[in-house]
Amino acid sequence: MNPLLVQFLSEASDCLEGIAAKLMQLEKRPGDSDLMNELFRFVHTLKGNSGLFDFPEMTRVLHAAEDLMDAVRTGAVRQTKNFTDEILDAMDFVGGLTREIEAHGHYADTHRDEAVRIAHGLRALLSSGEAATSSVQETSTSPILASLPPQSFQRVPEAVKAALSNHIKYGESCFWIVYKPEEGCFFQGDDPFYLARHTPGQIWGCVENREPWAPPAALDPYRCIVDFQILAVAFKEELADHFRYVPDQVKILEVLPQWLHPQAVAHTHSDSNPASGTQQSEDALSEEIFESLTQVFRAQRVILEVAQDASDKKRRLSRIGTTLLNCAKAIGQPPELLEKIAALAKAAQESGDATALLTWMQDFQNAGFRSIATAKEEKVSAASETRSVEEAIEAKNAARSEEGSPASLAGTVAKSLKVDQVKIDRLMNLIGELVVSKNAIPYLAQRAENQFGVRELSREIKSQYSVINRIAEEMQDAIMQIRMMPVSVVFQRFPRLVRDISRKLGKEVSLVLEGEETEADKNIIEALADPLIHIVRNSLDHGLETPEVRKAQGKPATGTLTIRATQEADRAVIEITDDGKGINPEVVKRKAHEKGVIDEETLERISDEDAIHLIFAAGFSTAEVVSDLSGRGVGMDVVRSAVEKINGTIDLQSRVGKGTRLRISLPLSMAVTQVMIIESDGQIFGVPMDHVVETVRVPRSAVRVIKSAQMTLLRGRLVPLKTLNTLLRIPAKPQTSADDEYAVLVVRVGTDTLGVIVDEFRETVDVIQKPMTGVLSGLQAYSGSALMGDGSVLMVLNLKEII
Amino acid sequence: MPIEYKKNQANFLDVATVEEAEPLLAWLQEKKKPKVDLKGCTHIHSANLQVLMALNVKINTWPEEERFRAWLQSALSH
Repeated sequence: MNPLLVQFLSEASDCLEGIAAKLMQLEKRPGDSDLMNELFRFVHTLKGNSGLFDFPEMTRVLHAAEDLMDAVRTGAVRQTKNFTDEILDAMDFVGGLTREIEAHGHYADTHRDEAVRIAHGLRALLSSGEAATSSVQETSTSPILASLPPQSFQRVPEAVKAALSNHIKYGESCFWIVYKPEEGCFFQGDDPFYLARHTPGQIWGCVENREPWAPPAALDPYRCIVDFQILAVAFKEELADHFRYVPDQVKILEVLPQWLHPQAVAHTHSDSNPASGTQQSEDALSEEIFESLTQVFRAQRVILEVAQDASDKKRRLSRIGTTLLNCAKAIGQPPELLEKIAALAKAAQESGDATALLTWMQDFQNAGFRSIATAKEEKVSAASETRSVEEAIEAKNAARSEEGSPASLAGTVAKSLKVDQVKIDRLMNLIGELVVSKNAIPYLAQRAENQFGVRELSREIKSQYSVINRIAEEMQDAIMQIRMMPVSVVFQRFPRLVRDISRKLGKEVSLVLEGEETEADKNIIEALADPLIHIVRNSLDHGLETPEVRKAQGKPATGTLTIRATQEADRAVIEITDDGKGINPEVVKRKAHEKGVIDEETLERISDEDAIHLIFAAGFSTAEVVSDLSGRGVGMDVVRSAVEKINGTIDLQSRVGKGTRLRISLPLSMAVTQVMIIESDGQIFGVPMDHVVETVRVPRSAVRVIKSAQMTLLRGRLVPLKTLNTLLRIPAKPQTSADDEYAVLVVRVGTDTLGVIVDEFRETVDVIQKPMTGVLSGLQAYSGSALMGDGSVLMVLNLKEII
Repeated sequence: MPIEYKKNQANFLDVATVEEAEPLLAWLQEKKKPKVDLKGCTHIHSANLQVLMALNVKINTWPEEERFRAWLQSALSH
């Protein structure tokens, strides 16, 4: 299975689990906007990912679910029990599909109706039943209405109607298809004309504009306003399958005999086709022969279809060829035609592809079993043309899938060992314990010397300790290495993603990936995937311009998107750079104000630099139109919170007209945290070094009280002071040193800098932080705990929460 | 180049893709009496079809393939 698909499946199951859990929580706490947002994000991600594959049913259902959630999220629709039921139903359906994909690589095409039903159910909730009736297709047409031909049917020429009546007469199912493509369908890579032209069994078609044309200067060629009408002799399933990506844009109606003019029914095929061929077939075939031929041809088609997968396909094909030849001889067809049949049958036998033969049979039958010698050559070129287009598409797809899975990957997969993460985590825990218990040995050596006075033993213990220490450290390093993954795991999705999105948007983008071998902890890499996808989507959607605009501005038509990973000291840095239009601070400011993200006062004084950072604010989105790609306002604020969650920082630089650069800096590993130990009221606490700016001693006299808040002047800057004891509600006064100085730990939380008064500073240590579990998980003041070498427990403060 | 622009005539070759629609529209607007030759054409993207329909362009030569020609004639012959 394609590695991309494997990844999709594992992510899909995570997403589905998340959705189920959130839905349950949401039912207990209805109206919780955070939960709703998280739920929405899950569905949004899942929908986006499913769009990468050929799973239209899945995407359809998820899209409907997403729209519904968006409406609930914004309060347009109330969250009811029904809502939970419908979403759960939909997710069960999606879950079923993923399991089927996991087992077989694809799912059976029997799910189409159910997908439409579920999506319809979701949309019904969305519009309280109004849109429901309009999106149901032929099923909702009343029987009386169905018996009348649609207005547009009158356009069909009489000759075609006559041929049609023959098909109906001989029991073949004929359909009238009205295809009204969406206005924005070109942006989704659709070509409605191509789809209409290649409708199976098509005997007639026409295209017309659904509204008057705009004057040339105002014409938007990329807004689709043409409709297609098609007559086809085919099975309904075939047609439904052909239009499976756009079932809501087509109407497929069975052509009923009463649709046709009574005279037309009475007509025979004899005068139905003015394009006559050779002398022999100038005269009409008798009705009896016509009927027999129709039956023979139908039987052959059935055999061909059945033969598709049969082992004796070749034999069957050769027999069909003989039958057709005999039929043609019996009705006196010219030798050229006989030769052509033989050639087609032979080609089909050799290639195993009977498409050309089927096309010919259909054409011959449509022409009323007359020689189509004049049109013969065109038919051949038509068949080969269809094939060449198909081949081109296939070749493209092949190239695409190759791009999605670099050849180098195959090598690494083969050599690597797949281990459950739980096992690695266990190793990680064990080595953590080993490090801690190893640290107890020096204490033991000290006791041996001080308490029992055996210096010799103490020295020996110490030398043994240094050996154990070295091994333990190496082991820790080795285990960390196991968890390290190259960023290429995430990067490999981008070529495909960029290609698909830029195509949808009609933009030309060249993607440059650098430093794919840069490694970081598995958790970090995994947490990075979603934010990066959001960023890339945003860059493509909002950053890079269309080739026309770029050319007009004197830039190369092809935009460049660079994703570069580098390692800087103990951090991995990922830069996403585009040479697009940049972020206009004025536009951002105005939007932020409109959306209530900033107030009037901030609007006035905010700097351009700060203004562009407003795109990270929750609820901010500059997209005018909700699109398939981005612009639902889940983008950048999610990115920032995801990066911050893994102790990363994000920085944005942008120049209007030049481009945008996003820089994400991440720790290499989450396993080891460097903390500074501080003491207050006889207890020790840890403070993550990421927050610590400096440690200073401030004389008591330098502490000023302004409006009951303590402040001090530090190198010309006013720094607010807070006492740790007060923050933790410890009923004790902060202690000063012998020189009457306070120990002040200057920390940065977000963008604020402030001083925390503690009793004493201690050393900084590397600890393996354990999250708070059980009843302790409710303690927001601590981000976790760590075991110290002497066996004591260090509580690590969560500064964001307590300040 | 799937569309070859000559002095007053645009020759469509093989498949005219979605990207062609804008240049085609611009070219047709520039010319007083633009003519279009579809002889060597096997498919045109719907966007191009719309442009040809909207500007009521004179088609000099139709494509060879019968059904394709029928489709185009349903939309473009006047």
